[in-house]
Amino acid sequence: MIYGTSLCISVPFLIAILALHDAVDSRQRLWTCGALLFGVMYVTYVVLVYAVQLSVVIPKSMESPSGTVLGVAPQTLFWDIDGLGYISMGASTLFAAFSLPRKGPGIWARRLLLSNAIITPVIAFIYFYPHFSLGVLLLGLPWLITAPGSLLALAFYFRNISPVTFRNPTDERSRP
Amino acid sequence: MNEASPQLGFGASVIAFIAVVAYGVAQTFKFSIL
Repeated sequence: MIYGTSLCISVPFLIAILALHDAVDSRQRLWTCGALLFGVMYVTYVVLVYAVQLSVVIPKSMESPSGTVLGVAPQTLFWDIDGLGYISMGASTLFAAFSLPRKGPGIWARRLLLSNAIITPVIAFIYFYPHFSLGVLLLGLPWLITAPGSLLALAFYFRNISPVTFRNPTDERSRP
Repeated sequence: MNEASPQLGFGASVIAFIAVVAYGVAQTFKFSIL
């Protein structure tokens, strides 16, 4: 269930960033290109982890329930790759936040994407701190607010912008 | 801007939002069992 839901976050997140890249003013596309780069890294990392878990590790563990090197547990290969994925997602939200205006419909999306980026060093600490515990994991609780909050704010941003708002007059002239 | 971008972005953001909420619920459920 956890792996399946995580997998369902990644691709829609990247599509949302792609749509943001197309929606923002052309001067802000440096930031959205950065967001796209880190978004692609995020999706690559987490799809690798969760596809392996769902297609190999979990079916094999049902046959012989013993820990394998491919499992996701603290300080293992896939734990670190998962961590790199969420760090990349944080970097992507940082770049996405900078692409949005300080005023107008994008203000809350900007604030929440920034807050999600600010929590990323804590996520990195949780993943790479050598002595993992439940207390360390609980440090990441704000992510459960900032991640859905930033995605919801991004959804409202897309709802509030009009395709006509940013249409370039040259586009109209180039139409047949 | 492509006319489909706001709708695509809205749909993708909503799906990702639902997935994050489901992930949070699943994680909370997992640790409440432990």
